[in-house]
Amino acid sequence: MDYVVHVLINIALYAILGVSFNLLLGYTGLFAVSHAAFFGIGAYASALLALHAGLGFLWGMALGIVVAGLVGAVIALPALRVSGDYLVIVSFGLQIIVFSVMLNWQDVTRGVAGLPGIPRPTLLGWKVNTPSEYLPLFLAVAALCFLLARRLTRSPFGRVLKAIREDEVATQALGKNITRFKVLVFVVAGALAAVAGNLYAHYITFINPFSFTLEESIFIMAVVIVGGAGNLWGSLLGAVVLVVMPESLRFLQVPPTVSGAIRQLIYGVLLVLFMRFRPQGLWGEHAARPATGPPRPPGGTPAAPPAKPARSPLSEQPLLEVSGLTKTFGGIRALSNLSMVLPQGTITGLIGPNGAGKTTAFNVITGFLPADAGVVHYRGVEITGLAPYRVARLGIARSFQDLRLFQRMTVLDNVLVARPEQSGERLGRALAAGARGRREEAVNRDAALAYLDFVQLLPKADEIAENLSYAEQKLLALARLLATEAELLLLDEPTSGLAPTTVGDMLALIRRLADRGKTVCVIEHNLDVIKGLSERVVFLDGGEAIAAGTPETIMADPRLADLYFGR
Amino acid sequence: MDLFAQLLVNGVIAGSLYALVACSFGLILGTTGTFHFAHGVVFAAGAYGAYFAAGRGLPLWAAVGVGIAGAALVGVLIEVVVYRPLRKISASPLVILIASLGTLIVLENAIAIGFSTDAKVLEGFPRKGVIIGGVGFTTLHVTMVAVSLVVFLGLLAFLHWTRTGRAIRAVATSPEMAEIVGIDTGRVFLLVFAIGSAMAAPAAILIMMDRGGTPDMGMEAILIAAIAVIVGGIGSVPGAALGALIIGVAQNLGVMQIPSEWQAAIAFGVLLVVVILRPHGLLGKKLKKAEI
Repeated sequence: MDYVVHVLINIALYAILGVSFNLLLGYTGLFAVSHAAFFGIGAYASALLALHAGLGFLWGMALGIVVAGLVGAVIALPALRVSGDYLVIVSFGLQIIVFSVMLNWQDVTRGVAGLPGIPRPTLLGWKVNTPSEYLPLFLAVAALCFLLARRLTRSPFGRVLKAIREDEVATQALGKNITRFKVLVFVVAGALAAVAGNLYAHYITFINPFSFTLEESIFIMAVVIVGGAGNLWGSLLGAVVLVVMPESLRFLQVPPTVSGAIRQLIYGVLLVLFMRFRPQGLWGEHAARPATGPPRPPGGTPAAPPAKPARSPLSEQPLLEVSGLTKTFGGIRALSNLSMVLPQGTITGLIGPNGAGKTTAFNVITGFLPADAGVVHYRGVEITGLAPYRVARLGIARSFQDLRLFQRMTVLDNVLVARPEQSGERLGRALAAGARGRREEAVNRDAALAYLDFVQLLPKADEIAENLSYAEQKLLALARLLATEAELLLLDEPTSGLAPTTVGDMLALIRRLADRGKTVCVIEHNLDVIKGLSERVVFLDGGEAIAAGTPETIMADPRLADLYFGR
Repeated sequence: MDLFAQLLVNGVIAGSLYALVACSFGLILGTTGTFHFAHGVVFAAGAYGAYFAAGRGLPLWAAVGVGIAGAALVGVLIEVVVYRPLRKISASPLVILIASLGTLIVLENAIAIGFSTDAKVLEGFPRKGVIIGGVGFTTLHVTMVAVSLVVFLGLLAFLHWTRTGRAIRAVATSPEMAEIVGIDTGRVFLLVFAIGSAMAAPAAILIMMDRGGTPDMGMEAILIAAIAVIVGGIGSVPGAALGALIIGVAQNLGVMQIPSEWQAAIAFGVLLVVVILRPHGLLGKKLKKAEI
């Protein structure tokens, strides 16, 4: 009986570790293999408190959470500078440094000898002694951690995490400060792992560094991968499978000298096989989606962006003014003293031969590239050098040639995440969401559905974005852009790659936007398209605006035509 | 001063072994784009192959040959059995990396089951102590530096002066372009895995002769190699060697100030400094951010 209880306790332990690591790996796409370090920090913090200060279980848990949370923030700093393969190595490094501290800081951790005699916890006068008394405690804490993580992942905060996983650049362009989100998710994941460490230390009553090795971190990773990244239920399943499966070795009478190695060999083989045949894991992200019917049409909401009152025509100040913008890459001048204005409420076409610097201009205006010289004013305020998310929050939204949709999110979530000023994007609000949060979410949902209706994607709201056709994806990118409620829309080739019939639909949509007071700047190659769309054209060549005027005057200029057609 | 000179020499000796693993890992990463963690266990397989052959009565030079050939075989097998099918279904780099970690764990534990986790020493190398100017080392240490230098220069010469070497560099620059000019990238990948694996084995065998080897010797080696490659700059073979030397020297000179058990932490300390100050590495090309 005690054996079964022990296995169940282990499952609960790895469920907590798996669920918290899933927040990093599965939801945010941060491949930081250092979770055993947080686990160990939680264990050591509470063991030291219990042994030296006589402080009980809950105090140890609190301290462990604080320390692991702080270490999480510290780990996040180098982790933020790198991604992909680099992050894996950096996280290995942090894991090994934490392990070295546990092993070598003899005065505090007693090194290899470890810390014995950690007292069993007392909760509200109830002393938890035997494993079977421990089990309910483990299960209760694991359930709490799961619910907390679930609440987080289903909040606007969690939606941004997924967006970061799918495309960091696009997430910034929607006005999200991705650094803040990454640091916070490290803190939360670290704190939850510390809770597991606290439980573990008080249960085993003896800890030493070898419970918190790199191999342990990889095992926790296996729990998430095998179970299914991006789905918290998957991590529970992964914990069950990876804890129970090696236990079967007990009944095969494997000699104890090799049972450890065989156990590791099994999960190594599982990792390889899953990557080959089922990379999404046993219970992956979209398997968890509830089968909902077609979304109800937004009741009573306008099927178009709410018309904003156009600014008073008396204000002569252009919405955006660029002057003297210069940008070089190595020896190549992408922008050379570029100056142009975008008057309020107009559609401006940005044309020019390939390599004229059109996209670079967008990148510099929106803060994705620093300018070497020159200034950008928006509504008369200088915005040069602001971080992309700050530029976006001021009301400048941009699209990308390669769309940069959040591929593995639903169509609706793609648009919802773009909504500005969601209070549920704050960690505290996300965890303590109440009626107000739900109301706000409902309002944002209706607005998102309205924008989907506007681009005629409403029937696809629950589809995964990557399953859409290319034309639908372009429409979705437009809906996402509009959902930011930005005043100025910078569209990078919105019609490229579309069939001629769809081009007409797209142009009609863009015209409707201008009618409703938006200011639009479109990069476009097709001169006929420009003629039908915009009243103003700016002609770029060699990174410089060499002409501006109505499409007719620009096209009538033989010098420009020669440049454009490369004659 | 003597202590400093001694530690510097120790650092160069350690660094030259790291360099073999780092250059081979960097060659595979730079050419095939595979973050080949399992290279660590290929390294260990070289040492255990030699140990196994010596135990069957083979003379030492033949055992070394068996170890090198064994490592090459294991490396090629991993490419064919694990990576190639994943590339065929266009798996993401992270999927391949996880599979590589899994392979490392599987083979490392297979070695542990076959040979136990006790340290094994490959005997028979005529080892003599030498003291020059107050700095002591052994003939084995001299061999380590010499082997590493010869292999490193040989690799550079091969990459630059032979037709096959140029094909490898072409694939490293752009696999698509290489395909277009008629290079069989699949074969180049196989070749790179064979060469890289064979290159790493001597370092492992020399370590097994010196202080003995354990099944997990590959994990430490591959971590150091990965750090060295990132420090030196991905895609640069000399960069990988430079990174390895820096780490070897930093770890050993660090002993003057910091107890030696912190060596692993020192290596990652170097990494963190480089990642923060120069994310593209010392000799790597700066990444262009022209297209967002």
